[in-house]
Amino acid sequence: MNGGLSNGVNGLNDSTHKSSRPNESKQWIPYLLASPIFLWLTIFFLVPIFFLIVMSFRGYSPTKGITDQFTTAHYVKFLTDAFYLGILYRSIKLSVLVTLISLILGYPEAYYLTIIKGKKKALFLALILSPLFVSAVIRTFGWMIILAPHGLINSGLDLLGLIHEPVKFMYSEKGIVIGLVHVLMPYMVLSIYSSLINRNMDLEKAAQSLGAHPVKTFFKITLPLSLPGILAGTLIVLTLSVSAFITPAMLGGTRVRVVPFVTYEQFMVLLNWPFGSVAALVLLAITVGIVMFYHRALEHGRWAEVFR
Amino acid sequence: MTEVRIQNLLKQFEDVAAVDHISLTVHSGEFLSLVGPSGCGKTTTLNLIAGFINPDAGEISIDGERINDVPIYKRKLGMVFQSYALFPHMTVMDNIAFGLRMQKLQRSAIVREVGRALELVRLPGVEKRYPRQLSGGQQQRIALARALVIHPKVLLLDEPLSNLDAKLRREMRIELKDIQKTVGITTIFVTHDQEEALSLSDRLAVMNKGRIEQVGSPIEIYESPKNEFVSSFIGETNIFSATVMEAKEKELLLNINEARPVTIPRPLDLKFRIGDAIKISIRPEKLCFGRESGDLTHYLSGTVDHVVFLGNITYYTVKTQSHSMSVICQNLETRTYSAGDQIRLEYRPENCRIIQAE
Amino acid sequence: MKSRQLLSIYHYMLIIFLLSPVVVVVLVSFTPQTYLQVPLAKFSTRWYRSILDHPEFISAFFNSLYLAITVSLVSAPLGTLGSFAIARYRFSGREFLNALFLSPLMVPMVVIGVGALQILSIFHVAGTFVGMVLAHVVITVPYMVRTMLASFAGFDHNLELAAMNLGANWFQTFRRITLPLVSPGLLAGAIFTFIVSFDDLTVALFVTGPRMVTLPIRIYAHIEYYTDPLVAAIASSIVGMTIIVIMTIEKLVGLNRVLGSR
Repeated sequence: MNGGLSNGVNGLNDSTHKSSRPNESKQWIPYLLASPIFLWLTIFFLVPIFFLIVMSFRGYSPTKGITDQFTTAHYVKFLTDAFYLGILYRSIKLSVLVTLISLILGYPEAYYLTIIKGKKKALFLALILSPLFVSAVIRTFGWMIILAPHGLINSGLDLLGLIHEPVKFMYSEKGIVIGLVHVLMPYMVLSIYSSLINRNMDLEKAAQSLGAHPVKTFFKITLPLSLPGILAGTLIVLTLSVSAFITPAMLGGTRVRVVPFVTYEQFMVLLNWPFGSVAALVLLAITVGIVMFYHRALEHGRWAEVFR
Repeated sequence: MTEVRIQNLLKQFEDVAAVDHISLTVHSGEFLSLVGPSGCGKTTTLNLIAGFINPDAGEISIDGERINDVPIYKRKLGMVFQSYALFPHMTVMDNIAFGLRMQKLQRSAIVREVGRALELVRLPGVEKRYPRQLSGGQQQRIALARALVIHPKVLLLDEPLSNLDAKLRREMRIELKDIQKTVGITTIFVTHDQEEALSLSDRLAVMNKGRIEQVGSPIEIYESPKNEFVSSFIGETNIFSATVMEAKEKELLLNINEARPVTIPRPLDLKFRIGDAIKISIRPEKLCFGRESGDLTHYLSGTVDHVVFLGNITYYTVKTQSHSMSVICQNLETRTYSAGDQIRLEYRPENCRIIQAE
Repeated sequence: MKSRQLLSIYHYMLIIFLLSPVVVVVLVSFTPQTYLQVPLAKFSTRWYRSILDHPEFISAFFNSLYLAITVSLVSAPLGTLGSFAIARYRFSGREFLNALFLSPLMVPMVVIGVGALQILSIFHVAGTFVGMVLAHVVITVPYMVRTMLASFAGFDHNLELAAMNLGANWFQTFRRITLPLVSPGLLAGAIFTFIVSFDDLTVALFVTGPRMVTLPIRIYAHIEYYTDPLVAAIASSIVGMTIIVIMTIEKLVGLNRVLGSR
């Protein structure tokens, strides 16, 4: 990554101390520096995941609580019961939808940001980032107000005479999609923007000088070369939307459940930790799967050349 | 064969005129260089011709037709960029074929043309590689092939050799000129390297601060520079401020504040009176160290100050009464001079050029 | 260019979309009514005043504040030392540690939450301030590591060597050269960490207890049961405070320096 790496051990040792043989006696330094965070993450992050796996195989009964017997019943239930399969399907469906919408809405915005200059650009970048400084609870609460049966949108549509009865946004998939697109689009915009802003403008000039109309230039040159940004953006939005808890919880609640909500419900309301663990692990598997799929596509896919 | 003409071209950025009312005609088939220091407007001029930017005033025409309002992709001009601008996500084949595909050429014709173009630039067989797998010099050739394969009317080159190391630059120069002569295409070449411009061009346009200082063949520009800028920018020179001492029938005697006056041929088209102030330029290689039996009229006395041995030539700095002058001598003999030597610098009157007259 | 104007219009519409929920919340906070409505005629500050009648929100605010500060103070050295090791040294396991330190970002928050609940229960700290800190550091330290890795990568190691060549020992070099040059990254990381901890609801929901209620949890609970604008007033106050903090940072340090290293 950088030239500083190989010089590290030599460069930062206090030469006035007893360590007059730099290379040998200081091999343990990096391990020492990394051990606090390593221990912390191992105990409070890795080990809990292991516990989840263990918990997912334990028995549960409403009367006796968590038991010590080994069972795969929870997995069977989650992966074969139509109710939970429906929730799983919905989670994935909504995530894909949110990702596509964010991409389509976010790309032109990212492109626009590369065209404007100076103070305006800084201002608009700040504005796009600003929702991220506000808690998701507050933002989703705002959407609850806007999307309510007599909220802003419905009142507006009613005034325009476009509808006769309120459109059901609250406690519906529509509302969740809108809320998630709002929360996650800044990530998409930023990803695509970083990819576009560093592009070589000569390439577009070259294409045009060879006879390509501006629109053709965009689709043959600019768009393909912004693929790294698109991919990074869709990866972030896909994983964040499938993992999202707050927005679907507030805008969908128990009426429109997604997998993270099921996890919460099972653990905190129904106290069925084993089943809750299954839901959590399925969710983890999905996000890990998405990440791994992307890595494979980057290495071997058709567009691999763009990333070299 | 295509002629490019620009008339009164103006382009301003904020309050500064990057291109300040310039006019120029590039003849059919000629290799013309726009040469000058950074910021002189040469690249802006090229971009205006290519259509990447629009002029604030003035006309650009190709073969008599005004192209000011023609969009980039319809101008049929081949462009080679300093950064080559090869499409990284496409193979060499796709890169070169790009323009042909825009022309909706048949697949078989495309394959044939690409093959021909690669042979022209002497890089056959690399169709399947990606730009990143090629060296700088190879990429440059592919960029050239890509520009030429569409049979453009004019070839535009924006400092294409700047990113190459010195040796490769010199090699590519020769190849570039060969290719241009073979194809016979009208070419406009932008560079800040005056040596490059001199070696490649049929004509040069020396630019400074948005204006064209002088247009001419390499010999004209070098031996007959019109002003101080051109004489200093192209090659090296010694410049003297002088006053006219005496005006004879065929000669002028000038006082340059030395022990002896300098004699130059009297120009027929200008009138001079005693006391007029002018500037003259004489190139370092046009001065030579005199022998005792040499010219007794046209010389100056001085002392050798610095000596730099450069192999085939030796570069001297000589201090005279009021000046410090550069002198370049070919090392024809093994005899060299050393610092402190008292010498005579001889010159020929016709080698002194007037570069500024009142 | 016509297409550019179209793009411009689209852009402004998108900005409106992005800002609308927060704007709506701020507007609603000024309503004189007892239900959620955007005030069109009269503006009232009654809901801001009524915050004082709800001490549970004020204590929740301070809980979140102390929590976020503590989490930042813990994450900063943890993350800085860890990323320093990765950036400056070559050792076996480096790639693994790099992935590990950043991995919480890729794992769903609910998974981290339920995991934290289980491990903290075993240590009997679930529902306590300490427990919350332990869990929050997990989700914030990756941000610290990321910004510090970028800082160290962009840092010319030769500057440290030059300092030592001129006679500075390790500690002097670190204090006078390294630290000042990575402080923008440090500040950026600390800000991200603070925000993530202060605003977090998902993990907090699993690790909360009667004695440790954070502001987002209070807000969330209130929304579940009531439909009055009190929450809007609280939320707007938070937004207002955030803006003031950001502007202060801008004046003191300059946001470009902080965001630039991204």
